[in-house]
Amino acid sequence: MTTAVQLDPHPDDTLPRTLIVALSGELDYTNAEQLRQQAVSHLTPDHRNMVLDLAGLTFCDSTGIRIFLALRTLITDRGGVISLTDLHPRLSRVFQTTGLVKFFAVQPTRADALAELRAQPSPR
Amino acid sequence: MSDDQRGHWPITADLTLLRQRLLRHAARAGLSGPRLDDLLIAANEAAINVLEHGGGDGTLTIWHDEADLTVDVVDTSGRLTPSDVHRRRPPGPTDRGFGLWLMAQLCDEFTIRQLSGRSRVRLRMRLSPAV
Repeated sequence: MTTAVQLDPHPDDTLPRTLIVALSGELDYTNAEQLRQQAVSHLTPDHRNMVLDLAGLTFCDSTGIRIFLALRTLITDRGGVISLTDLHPRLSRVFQTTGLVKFFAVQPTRADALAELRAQPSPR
Repeated sequence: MSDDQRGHWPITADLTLLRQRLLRHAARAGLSGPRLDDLLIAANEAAINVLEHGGGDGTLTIWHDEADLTVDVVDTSGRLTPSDVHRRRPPGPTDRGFGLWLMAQLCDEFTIRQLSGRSRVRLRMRLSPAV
């Protein structure tokens, strides 16, 4: 099995209702479900938004995208926003080619995603 | 082409190793940048199809000549048929079937053949794309 994707939380005091995590490694069919469970275990009832910093994620296949879509459903059910940042060119290619990029708020950097959320009038 | 220029590996759950081997071989053959990434993404989709639907057992073979780099992924279930290369894009975001769609989008050539109880996915990239 591909080594588990590493998930590191980066909480931000100004955004208490946003789960911010950095992912690193390679995401594929063999470890995708593991990542979903890990991400869900970090979600608390207070979290409304999610920011996934993908700078360290060097690969993602179609099963990996399904996990991002599953996380998106959890967040949109709470009325929140899920942002993906710092996409590796390989990830951009998969998201763009499948057309699934439109289901996410994609930002160049984590700082951009956080700034966007801070600018929102609703609970952050 | 001599046999030592050919890569032939089993498809196992160690997809990282398979991707590393494929990248190394394809780069040595002269593929680089986004086209190398496209082949990597497509070949990985073919390999996970083997793990998920193709009987869990298969092989990946890569070789090249002056014109093309070719990757063959053979499973043991024989479920994929030649017409599967024409599948439409899955309608919903969570529908299955993006793998075959991606292979068709990302490679210069994508064919499927059935050979005595097995299916062979062939992905091909031109090494000197026409300008």
